[in-house]
Amino acid sequence: MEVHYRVRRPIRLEARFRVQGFTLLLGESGVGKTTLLKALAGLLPAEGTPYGGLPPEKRPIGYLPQDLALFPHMTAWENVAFPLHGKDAKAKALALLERVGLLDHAHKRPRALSGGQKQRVALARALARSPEVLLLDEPTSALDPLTKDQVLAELIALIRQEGLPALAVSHDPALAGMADWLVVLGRGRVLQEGPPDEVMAAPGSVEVARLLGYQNLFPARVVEGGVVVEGVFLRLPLPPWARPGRRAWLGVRAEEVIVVREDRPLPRKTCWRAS
Amino acid sequence: MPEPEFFLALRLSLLVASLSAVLLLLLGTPLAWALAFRDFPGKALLEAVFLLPLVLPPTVLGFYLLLFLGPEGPWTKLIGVSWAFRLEGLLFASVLFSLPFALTAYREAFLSLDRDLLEVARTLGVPRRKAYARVVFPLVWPGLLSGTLLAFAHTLGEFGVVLMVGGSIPGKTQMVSIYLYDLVQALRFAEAAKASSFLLLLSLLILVSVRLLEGRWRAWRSTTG
Amino acid sequence: MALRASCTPSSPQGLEADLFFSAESLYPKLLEERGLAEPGTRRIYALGRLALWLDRKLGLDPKPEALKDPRVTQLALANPVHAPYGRAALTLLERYGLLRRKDLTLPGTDKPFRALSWAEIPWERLTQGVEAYWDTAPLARGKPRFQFVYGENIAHAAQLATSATGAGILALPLVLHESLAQSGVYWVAPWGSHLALEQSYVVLKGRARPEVLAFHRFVASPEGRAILKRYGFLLPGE
Repeated sequence: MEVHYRVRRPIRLEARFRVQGFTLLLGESGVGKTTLLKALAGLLPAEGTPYGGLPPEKRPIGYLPQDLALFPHMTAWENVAFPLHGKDAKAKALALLERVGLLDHAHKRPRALSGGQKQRVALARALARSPEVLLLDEPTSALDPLTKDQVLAELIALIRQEGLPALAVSHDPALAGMADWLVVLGRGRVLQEGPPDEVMAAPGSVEVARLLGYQNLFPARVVEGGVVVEGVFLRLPLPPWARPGRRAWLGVRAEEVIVVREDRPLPRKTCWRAS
Repeated sequence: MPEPEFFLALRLSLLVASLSAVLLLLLGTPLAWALAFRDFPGKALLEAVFLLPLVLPPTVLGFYLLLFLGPEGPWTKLIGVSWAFRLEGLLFASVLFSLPFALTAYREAFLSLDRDLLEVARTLGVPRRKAYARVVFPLVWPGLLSGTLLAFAHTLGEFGVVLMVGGSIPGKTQMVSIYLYDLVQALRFAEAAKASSFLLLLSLLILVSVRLLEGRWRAWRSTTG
Repeated sequence: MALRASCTPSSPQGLEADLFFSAESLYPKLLEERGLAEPGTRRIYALGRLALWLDRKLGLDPKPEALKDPRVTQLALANPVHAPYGRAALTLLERYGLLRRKDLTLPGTDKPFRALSWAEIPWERLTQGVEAYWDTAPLARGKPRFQFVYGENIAHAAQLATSATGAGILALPLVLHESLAQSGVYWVAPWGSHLALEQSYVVLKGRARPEVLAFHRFVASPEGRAILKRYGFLLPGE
């Protein structure tokens, strides 16, 4: 699915990217991730495709806001049945709750549910209106930090089971590994998109690298067979554009570095002696 | 038992209080919604004007209202009839006088509403009317109801404004507070005491039922909401 | 020291005052009877005069018959249930044939209402409004509507008359005040044409200090009388 949206308020933004499978839109807070989702849902004045010009109730989307916005005065099944009508609304709602594994909690109100359970109720409610795409705003923010990765992985598995494309926005690069497609949003525009491992392996700019979690960035000079950073030569496979003599940035993710004690044998990797 | 004139005055007070409560609900709800969620030029001034009856002495408000509704007043010029010393005038005055109470309560009810709920309801393919009826209304009605009951009780006890615009006509504009005042002024203390204790019990009954209602709603929210 | 034009029910409840002034003689008498006043100090300080006040804009000649004009649809009075000037106003209208007593007997009295003298009427029981006891046909005839509007005291009645009703039966000193004299025309009721307003005062029990008694004497002195006269009061013995 191709998305192309232009928003003027509250943030000026023009974004053009693809959504395929579970797509993660990564960006710092304040660049307009939520704004973009609301624009897609029709909750903000904006122009673009798909669904441009339609009111929110006419757009086939399933929107899960950051706080999930379950109706506090309704039970789980009543929440799921909200978009349904007709006599079999309750039966349909219960079937949806069963699909997300929450049939046992159908008669509880949102306050009695855990963060992950609420999320699945919200998913079931969104599925009830048969959407073409799911929109998830910071899907891990309502979750317990200890279990959030596992709970999110289960949610993504559920979404894949339903065969629905989903667009999740987050500032957390740790989620990138679970996505099928990664879009990096900078100030006012999309910086880069692609399969997550490709984007992670070759960020197109320093800004993207920083957003992807490269905490260590050094100015470097390209030489034959590697780069020189502050007088130290590093042996590296070079990308095709890197000709000797050019200036470049060297990015190192914290998790790619290991610190070894002096008295232990060195691993067969690039090593630095530090004090 | 108080004399029949007391019940005549009480009936009028209850009529004016319930009619103005209904008018406040119809008028105050959209107004409070706008004040809670909309931004427009002059909003701060408008809010201040609506809160004015809270700080003005009721007699001052009544004085201006009588000029406004009197035969030479702008309202009379507009509609062609003077509302002074009539039920319409009493209603007009009561609505204006109780507006700050109702408006503040209504606005609080709306502000405590999570706006995400309404937005999500709209994305669920539900028409706007249904979203209001099934999401907004169930969540705000206790606040609207307690604001309305408060305004009702306030109107029931109002004195200064109705004294000024009512003209104390028995059966027509003499509300129960004025009737009691007249009794006291006529040195009929025994009757005044009887009528007052009756009114006291009635007011207590109203306030107790408001509290019970609120309590029930709170309990319902905290155990299941 | 307290000067109260309207009756003051607070005084029997222990009002901090030395003298009690009233617009009639009933309440000072009551205080005397209940032993709440110094015996022998009750005096009349003035005889209250009534005046009919009409808004200048009505363009009417100020006399009682003017009240029959269709332009007069509302008449402001002090509430006769408790205000002496309101009671006097009703007797004035009665005297000029503008009100006729209905054929009824008031609860608590054995004589028919018609037979009661002005002083005998149990005014504080007339809580149903003038129309319940008097036939207002002479005032209401030929008008789309006519009603009495009651002020809590005579000053409030004056305010109702100037800002809304355009007509009122008020106290002469108020009518002579510039705000009413400018906007309206008036007619002074002859003495004796209405319930006598013997405006009386007493020294309250235990307050007969020399300075209080000096003021008590001053009110009746030529100097005090001159002040009252200037404000439109008729004085006792005139």
